Amino acid sequence: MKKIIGWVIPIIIMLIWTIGSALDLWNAYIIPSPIRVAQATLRLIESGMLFRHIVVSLNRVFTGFAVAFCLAFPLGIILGMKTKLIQFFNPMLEFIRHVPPLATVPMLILWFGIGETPKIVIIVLASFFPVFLNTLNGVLCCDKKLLEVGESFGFTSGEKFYKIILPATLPYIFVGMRLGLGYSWRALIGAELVAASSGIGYMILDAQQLSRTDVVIVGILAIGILGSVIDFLLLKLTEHLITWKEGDKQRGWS
Amino acid sequence: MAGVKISNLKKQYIVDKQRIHALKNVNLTIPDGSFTTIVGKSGCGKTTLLRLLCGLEEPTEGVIEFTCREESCKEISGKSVGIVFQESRLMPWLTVKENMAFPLFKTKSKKQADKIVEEYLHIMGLGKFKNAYPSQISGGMAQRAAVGRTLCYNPDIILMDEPFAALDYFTRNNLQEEIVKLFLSQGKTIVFITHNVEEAVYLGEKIVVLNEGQVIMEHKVPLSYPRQSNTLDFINIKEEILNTIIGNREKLNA
Ligand SMILES: Nc1ncnc2c1ncn2[C@@H]1O[C@H](COP(=O)(O)OP(=O)(O)OP(=O)(O)O)[C@@H](O)[C@H]1O
Ligand SMILES: [Mg+2]
Repeated sequence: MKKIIGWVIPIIIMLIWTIGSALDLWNAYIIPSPIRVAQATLRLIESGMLFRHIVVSLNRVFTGFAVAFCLAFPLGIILGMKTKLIQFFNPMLEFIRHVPPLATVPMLILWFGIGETPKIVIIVLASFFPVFLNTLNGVLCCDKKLLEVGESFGFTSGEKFYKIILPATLPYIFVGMRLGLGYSWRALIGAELVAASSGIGYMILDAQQLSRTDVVIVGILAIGILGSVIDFLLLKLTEHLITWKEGDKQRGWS
Repeated sequence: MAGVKISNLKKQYIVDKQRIHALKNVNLTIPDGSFTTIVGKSGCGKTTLLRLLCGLEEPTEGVIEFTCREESCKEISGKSVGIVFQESRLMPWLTVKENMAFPLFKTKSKKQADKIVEEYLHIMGLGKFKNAYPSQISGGMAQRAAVGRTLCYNPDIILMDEPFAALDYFTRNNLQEEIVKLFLSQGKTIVFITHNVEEAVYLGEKIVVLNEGQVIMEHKVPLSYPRQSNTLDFINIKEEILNTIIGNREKLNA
């Protein structure tokens, strides 16, 4: 029942879109009809274009996200365990956090050229903070009382980390990963603004220049659907790995 | 096997710039293989004393010495002291069984560890719930699991901080009997905190009355196990302890 309710609004939008287009209520250039979008989709699939762009974009998102995770996760853990270091890093991280990744594009192109690197860097910048902040928060929220249990059983620091801190932080880390991946997708278009010749973002920009609004909509739909599917898969993985429930640990920061 | 000698033990906390004397000059000898119960009103320093005993807290002044029967136990330190906290403190991501096996993960033989855990699951009456998570069991069961976990750890000295306070009458009676049996069969040193005078008399070879951070009475209980709470001797001892606690309150009020 709940699942059906979620489809009500999309279906209504589809209906209005279809009927409005059929009755010529608006300019077909500003809002192309669903049929034209479907035809464009088919054509893009047939030619292999859509698939190629998706693979390129996915590659960028995952590479960027993986790099961000490899930086953010250890940093979050280390700062969470050595809270004195937070003061050392805080002003700098706070500064970077408030700079939109796109604002750095001109410098990134100067430094890294127009290859893949600046695109990856933008995605890294966008997805670093959700992972970092949630990991840090998870470690900081780890119940001191549970750590005392480990201490009373004579655990070493390493054992306390693997047996208590890490499992307690896992739900936070997954929230951070989900948010981080979501941010990666959002940053993608920005990243592909940087003189790209492939990727969904490029496809959309190219279509804009050719006045192919139907292709633009295909691109938007592809990003939204792919993002949802990836988030869904990650959520399933989370549910699979974290079978325990405790309060509302599922909430996260961004 | 080990006992404890506490001399001139003081513990102060600074709360809001005010010095709180949680323990004022405690002197106490806990012989090897003895069962000591500590009673006292809320806030008299019982938990503080246990935390100092298991090394979770450093004394402000005074010494805690561990005394051994055998020469071999020179390295007596954390390993031989186990504590059951006032709250169950189970790991929410582990099942009941995994929680009880928690201190045993370093044990070489998994089979042997499993046997120990199964045995205590049975004693604690948790066999049916071994695969449940802490969020799925009642508070009393959680407390039983916590007792079982410390018993699995198998320390020489077992410290218990009001472990049965949250349990119903029947379960408590059961567990009291189990603890007595365990004490008689394994000869462990047990320090048991309670605010229930009857429980203190039922369990302890010696009852220590703590008041405002000081030992105001040490009372030997010359009754053999298992004790009957309806015998005259039992009731007399209970009255005497109660009077000490209440009498002290009257003195303070006067
Ligand atoms: N970590 C702490 N920081 C500051 N004060 C503390 C701390 N732990 C205990 N105290 C203070 O020490 C005193 C004794 O506390 P303790 O927890 O030992 O009492 P208790 O006898 O165990 O009481 P209860 O029966 O309610 O558990 C209290 O006044 C308490 O406020
Ligand atoms: Mg207490």
